[in-house]
Amino acid sequence: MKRWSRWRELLAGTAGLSVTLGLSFLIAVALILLLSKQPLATIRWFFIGPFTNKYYLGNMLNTAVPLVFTGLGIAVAFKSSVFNLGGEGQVYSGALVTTVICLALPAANGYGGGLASLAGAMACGAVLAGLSGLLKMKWGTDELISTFLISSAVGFIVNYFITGPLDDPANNLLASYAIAPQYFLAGIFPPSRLNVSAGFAVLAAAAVFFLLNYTHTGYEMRMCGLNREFSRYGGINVSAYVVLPLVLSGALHGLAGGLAVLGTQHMAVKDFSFGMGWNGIAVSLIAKNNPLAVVPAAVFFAWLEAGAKAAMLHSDVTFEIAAIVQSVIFYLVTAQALYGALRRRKVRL
Amino acid sequence: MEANLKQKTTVLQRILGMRDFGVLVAALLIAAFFSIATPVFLTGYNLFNLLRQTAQLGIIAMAMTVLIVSGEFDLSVGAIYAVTGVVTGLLATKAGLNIWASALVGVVAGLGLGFLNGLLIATTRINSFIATLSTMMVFRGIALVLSQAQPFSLQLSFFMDLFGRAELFGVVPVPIVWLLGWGVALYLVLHRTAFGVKVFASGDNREAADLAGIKTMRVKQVGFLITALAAGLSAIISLSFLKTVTPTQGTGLELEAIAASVIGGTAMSGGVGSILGTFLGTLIMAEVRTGLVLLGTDAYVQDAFVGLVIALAVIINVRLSTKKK
Amino acid sequence: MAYLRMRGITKMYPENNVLANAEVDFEVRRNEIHALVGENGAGKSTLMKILYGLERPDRGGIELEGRPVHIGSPLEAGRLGIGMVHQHFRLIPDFTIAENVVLGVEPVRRGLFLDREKAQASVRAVIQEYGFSIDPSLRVRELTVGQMQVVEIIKILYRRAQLLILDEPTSVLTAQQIQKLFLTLRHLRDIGKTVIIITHKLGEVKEISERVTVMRAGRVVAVRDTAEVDERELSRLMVGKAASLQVRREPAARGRAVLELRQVCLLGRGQDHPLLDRVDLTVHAGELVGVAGVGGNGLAELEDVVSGLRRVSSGRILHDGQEITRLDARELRRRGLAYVPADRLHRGSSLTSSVMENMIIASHHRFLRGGVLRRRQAEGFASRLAERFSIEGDPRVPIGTLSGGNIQKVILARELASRTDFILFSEPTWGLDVASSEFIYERIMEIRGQGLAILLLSSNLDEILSLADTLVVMYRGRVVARLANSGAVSKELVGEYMLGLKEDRP
Repeated sequence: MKRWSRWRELLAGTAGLSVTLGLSFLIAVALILLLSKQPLATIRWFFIGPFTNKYYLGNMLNTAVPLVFTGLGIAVAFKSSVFNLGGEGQVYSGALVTTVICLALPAANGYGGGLASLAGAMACGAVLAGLSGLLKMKWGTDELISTFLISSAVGFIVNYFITGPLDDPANNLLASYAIAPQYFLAGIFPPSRLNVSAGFAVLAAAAVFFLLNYTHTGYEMRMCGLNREFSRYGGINVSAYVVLPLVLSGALHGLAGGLAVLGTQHMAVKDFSFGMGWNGIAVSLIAKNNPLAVVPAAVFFAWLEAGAKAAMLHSDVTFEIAAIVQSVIFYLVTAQALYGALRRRKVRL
Repeated sequence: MEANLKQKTTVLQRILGMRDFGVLVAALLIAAFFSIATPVFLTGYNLFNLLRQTAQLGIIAMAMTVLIVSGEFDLSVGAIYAVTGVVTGLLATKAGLNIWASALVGVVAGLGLGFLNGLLIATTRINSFIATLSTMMVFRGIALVLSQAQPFSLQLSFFMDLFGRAELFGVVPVPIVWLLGWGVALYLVLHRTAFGVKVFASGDNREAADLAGIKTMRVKQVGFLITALAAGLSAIISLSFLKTVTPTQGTGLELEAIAASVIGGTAMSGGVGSILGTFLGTLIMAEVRTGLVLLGTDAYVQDAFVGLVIALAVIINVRLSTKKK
Repeated sequence: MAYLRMRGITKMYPENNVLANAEVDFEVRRNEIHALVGENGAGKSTLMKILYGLERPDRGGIELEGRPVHIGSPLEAGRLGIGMVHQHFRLIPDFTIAENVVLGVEPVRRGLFLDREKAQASVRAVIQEYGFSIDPSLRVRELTVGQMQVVEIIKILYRRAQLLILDEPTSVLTAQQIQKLFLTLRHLRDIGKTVIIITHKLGEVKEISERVTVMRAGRVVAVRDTAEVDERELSRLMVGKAASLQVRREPAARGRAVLELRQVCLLGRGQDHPLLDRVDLTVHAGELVGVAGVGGNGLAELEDVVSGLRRVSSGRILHDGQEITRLDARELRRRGLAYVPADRLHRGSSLTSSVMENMIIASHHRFLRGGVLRRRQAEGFASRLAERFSIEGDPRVPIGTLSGGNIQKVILARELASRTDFILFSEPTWGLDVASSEFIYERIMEIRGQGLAILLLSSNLDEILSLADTLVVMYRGRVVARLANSGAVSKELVGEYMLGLKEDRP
């Protein structure tokens, strides 16, 4: 009896989501029908393409890796009822810091230097997001706006470094010098670019799940997220839980950027991380902020992107289909999830 | 205390208001700095050039100010700017439509998107920051699909003159005329009409405004139309001057517009702001950019510098609005 | 004859099943000042909200000057000449007085442009017409609370209102400001306006009104000419008959002083009248101190201050002789503060969290090993408490699915589980059924017998009279009476203190 009602609840909870995702697929199909002269082949490549060979499959999963990290970063913040719209800049600057540290230590041990570079990326993201947390704690600034603006401003600055002091004139890209090979993360699914960071992503999801549900900090974070007044009444230091979730969120975003450099890019490329932050929001919302569900949600998002790439290579549509479908999903999912949450947001500190 | 301050203010301060006066001083100081650093800065040619380049940003930033004062944000202006350009360009080239009609349809399309923004926020009541963030992506997608992700160029002389290339009395470039005209219009709307009062009231204390019988949601919806119209006008000026349209144009424009508005003294929490202040804020951003160009720095240094200015403005603005409350 | 007639007004709030108005008939004559009095929750605000178009009645009708009217919104009320000054002002701080007054009905030139001169002139004209003295070009931000209230009144008069409703207009004012307000109201009456004033301060009723309607528990219990009724009778009408509760109270064994408040003051933001005014209070071990008062007289603020959620403006608070004035809720919790709040649905619990998570909020440190929460222990703890307090339902279900009585039991169980020598209760049985209330009373008496110091804040006089050893009454933020609760203390007497008729200078 009880079990049955829980199932029903789960079903009701996922119904809206299924409609959203179904609608997104319909839009993808409609766009293909509209734009493609050979729609059937295009649809086939779009949906099945990513699974047709190891190269595509591995790359698709590799695309999902940073989305897992950014999705987790958003989930941590959302669970605590704070918002981080600065993911873009945090990923990008994390990638820059990792690159800089690796470039500064060209001869260091791969593990030591690699860890240092990732730690730097996490610290950078944590500081950027944490700053917004401090502004909110001290002066009540809406973190929605401050995370976004600070992150955007930082994006300009990262661009400057990538195209200025760090620019490698030898490559024809707007990109920095390449990092030393001992830092490269080992590939695990050749010939694709999938590397051990995929394992890290799964571990990170498990760790965040554990943190939120089984630890003292996680309990306090969730309680603050659900009811700040109650938490204050219960003796939790609520102002700390404005800053801490943002710090964690920023660190996870920074790590996404750092791992992308070590695992995939091997250098900081201008605008390479574009969309990772935004898509993290959609991924987390599809996963209903459950850290374990973030992994499949990220793969789903990567599938859309990989499908569009395959369709582009093998058929006659442009890559923008993925961008559009993703943006539609982003819109529908945020609308659905935030409909209540952002309206209720009149929590006093 | 405020009363004491008031008596000591100069005539100019009284005309401009305290906030605007501060921004004016900042704009003059920056201008003075660059005039000393590079002699070219203070030439008539350069100043016109500066204003001309700032026209598109200024038009959008001033409209954004109206919206921010009403308590909302529009992050999709850059994308609307692109859609207007793409629609106009497509109709004028691929469909061979008359440029006037094309431009009209383009602007109307942009207005439609602005209407959509307002409608979404009115019906779902989602925070406009999030809502327009997602419509930004959707609109940008529309621009990409319509243009097949390709830029295209136009050749239509008279029209282009009127919006982009001509010079009034042989000296003043038309984009400046448009900028000033739009500025005066918005100044009247925000600071002189009954509608403007409603904009301020909606952003300052929504509950009080609602009780006074103001349809605050309607006011905000009009705000979204104004930003969309500004994006459309800017897009027309841009395509007239550059003779090209790209689907990615205007990326980041929303950010610069918000920054210019915030530098000009608009409170991010709504209810405080002025068109003149935003005009000066836009000028400051343009001064910094042009000055850096004249000093010989490359584009990314300028971007980085603009980034710093934005970050600083955010923090200072936060300080100011907290002191107020 | 009657200017306004409300007939058979019935309004039920379905969210909490409260019948706010039951067949209420309410009449106001033209050109009078009519006081509407009653305790909190008596239904007077609901009635006025219905009149002002903010709420729809389930049944009943309104007649104005003999004609039935439909009032669907404040705008429609305004068109009918009804205006309301809310307890919390609805003004725009950055606007001038004139701009605030004309907001929504701005004078325009050529159908578009705001005519500031005309706005200023017409507001000035209204100010002169009604004999106010205030400069319409001042910004609201710079005004005192009394002046802001005047602006609200001018706003209504500018819209040519004939009937003015004032919702507890004196609660934020100082004594001088109150006198000034009354002068204004009398003047308005003299020039033909009609005024309804909501209040529960009986001295003010006598001073300002011609007639008075008394409400209790959603019903009108009396309508009188103010001159023909004395304050005692009004007070009795408001509080009703004493209903003794089935509680056995053993004689108290009073011990050391556990909690002491010394000259505690709290100033509200933007209010000229202090919320707590030099409050002295001592709670001894084994003693139950009951603080009575009508809402808006400092009980809620006392709750926040004692629980550490709000910091005092001056004065000291001691626990076991040690200074705790500056400690916040977290530090007080560490010292063992136990506290059952009045707002049990938002402050006292997190509705979407499980019963277990609700139970460990203040004690989850006890279930930690290396930063990891030992769920099994926590669940065991929750189950044991649930059993001891006979709380129905699995500790893993969200607390929001429980009944109100069970939610309060969870809160009570949690707070009593912390080892402590002091506990604060605020409105512990508000809205609960009889069985749950009795269960809670028994528990309170039980811990009193164990020697805890108990502070009980309640607007329920029967509750206070049945439970308290020492009775403290608050009025306008001050302690106006401190009585040992012997059989000689009657509900009527406490009611007179609560409503401001009597006051012992401590």
